[in-house]
Amino acid sequence: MTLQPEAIRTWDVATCHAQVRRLFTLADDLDGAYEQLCRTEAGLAGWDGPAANRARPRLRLAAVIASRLAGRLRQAADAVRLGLGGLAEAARLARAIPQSGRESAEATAAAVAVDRRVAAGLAAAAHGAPAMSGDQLPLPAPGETPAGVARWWTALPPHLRQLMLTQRPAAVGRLAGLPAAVRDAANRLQLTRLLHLLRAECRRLGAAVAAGPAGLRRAVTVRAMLLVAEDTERQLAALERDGRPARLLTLDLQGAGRVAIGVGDLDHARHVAVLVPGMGQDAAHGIARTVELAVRLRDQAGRESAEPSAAIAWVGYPAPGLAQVPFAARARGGGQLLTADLRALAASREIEGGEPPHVTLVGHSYGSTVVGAAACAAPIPADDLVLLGSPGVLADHVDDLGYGQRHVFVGEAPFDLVADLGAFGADPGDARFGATRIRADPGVGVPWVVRLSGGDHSHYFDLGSESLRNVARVVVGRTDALSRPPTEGEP
Amino acid sequence: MPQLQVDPEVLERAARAASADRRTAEQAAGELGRAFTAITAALPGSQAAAAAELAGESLVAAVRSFAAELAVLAGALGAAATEYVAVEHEVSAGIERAGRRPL
Repeated sequence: MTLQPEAIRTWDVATCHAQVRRLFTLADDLDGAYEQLCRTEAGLAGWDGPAANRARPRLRLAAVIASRLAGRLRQAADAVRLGLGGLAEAARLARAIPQSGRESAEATAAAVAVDRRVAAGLAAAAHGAPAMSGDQLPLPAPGETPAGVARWWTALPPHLRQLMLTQRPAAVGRLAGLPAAVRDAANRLQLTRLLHLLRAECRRLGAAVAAGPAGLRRAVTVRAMLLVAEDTERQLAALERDGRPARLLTLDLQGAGRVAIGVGDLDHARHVAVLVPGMGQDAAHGIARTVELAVRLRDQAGRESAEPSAAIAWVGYPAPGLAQVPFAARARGGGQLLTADLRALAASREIEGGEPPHVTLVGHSYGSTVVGAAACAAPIPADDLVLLGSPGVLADHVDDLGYGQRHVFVGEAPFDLVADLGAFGADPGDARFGATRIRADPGVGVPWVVRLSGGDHSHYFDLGSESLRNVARVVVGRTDALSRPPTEGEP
Repeated sequence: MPQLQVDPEVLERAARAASADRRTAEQAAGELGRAFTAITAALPGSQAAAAAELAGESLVAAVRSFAAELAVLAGALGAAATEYVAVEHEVSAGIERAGRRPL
């Protein structure tokens, strides 16, 4: 069958889009049937005898069938969804008047390619995935992109999703591209398991320290891992106590540790801020401060806009200590990790055609250098950058970051020595750098003796401060309401 | 003699739930059939349209078959509940009759 331009011109992609949404809703209905059948089967636990022994397996099987149908339906819907952009472009090109025969042929070839992709996806859904048992849980291939992971999750029937969560929490928690709620559930399960294991090993090693230096080294490592795990548990409990929804996005206890906690509903928030801390602020040194700043930022964002927002305390890189801070190596390494996590967030929000959030990266101190390293290295899925007390972002001009002036905001408090260092490229607060400068005054009550010794550097998130208000305004997209510093040297 | 433990009310509830799931499935079968038909019509001349038609047919058939299974299950659970109640009444009446006989 040859695809004709006359036919391509009549493609109605809006209708396809509407039907895709309908199919996803129907898949949700089948999820509901699956859950109800599971409940029904569980409700029959007190029924015993030969008839019960025949009825219960049939109910279980019916639940699994509902689950598989939901998975196949999502797989079909997703196949069409992923082709919508290409189909629309093909129709647009076919409707445009071609300048040459070659252009016309290229437009048809593009249409054929997207058409084949959608058809192949639909055919796979029509045949259905082969039946899988619990010990053959199908993880995505190693190195799969976040978008690929999101597609895999979309087509995974709910009974297998549940099985993955309970049997492979460590693997699920690490899968970049899954919804935040799923990674949170997996990482919390994994946290509980790790706490149990580490406490047991600590006790065992404590008794065996006399065994030698190897035992001592292991005891130190285990103790460090346990401290990060316990700190994470404490922060999650505190957020829960305060009634704040929290998502444990990342949990890695190796080395300096990597922990990312989202405050707010990351899967649905309209605005998401990612807070990148600076020197000495890695997981091994405690996540409490970064979590506290994320809470302040989200609360302030809530005061600036009624649209739902979330903030991620991203303690996700081995932050430098005094010995490493003069060098950019940790920033470059951190930038790569940050980019990967941002891509994971973007992919997770595109599941089932969801709207991407407005993302703001907020880098404080050396954290701003990490943000700069990420932006300089590759395009990152973030809309705005906020650089606070920045010693430099490995760039000499805002253009080097791949962002225009209207999307890079620099806050420099009046008495912040670090912000004037220009240690990693040009001083972002300098007008020649080309960023939008925002007022970043600390809150009231910071003693003058502290301020005059450069202490403003640690007060960008003070409650009630102009700095916090301005950062929150960027986060919620209210850049028209920003207050600006005196205009000397403005471009 | 196998051990027997029954609460007919629980069975009735299970039958009602399975029946509700059957209605959901039947409704979903109809709606998804219409959705795939619309996609097929929206992409004339394409392989995607042909694949959507096949996927629609396959999924509608599978969901209908699932609904039919649920109908059978709901029927069996409902009938079991009724029969257990009837047997219970019969046994109870038998004991009552036996109790009226002179010793």
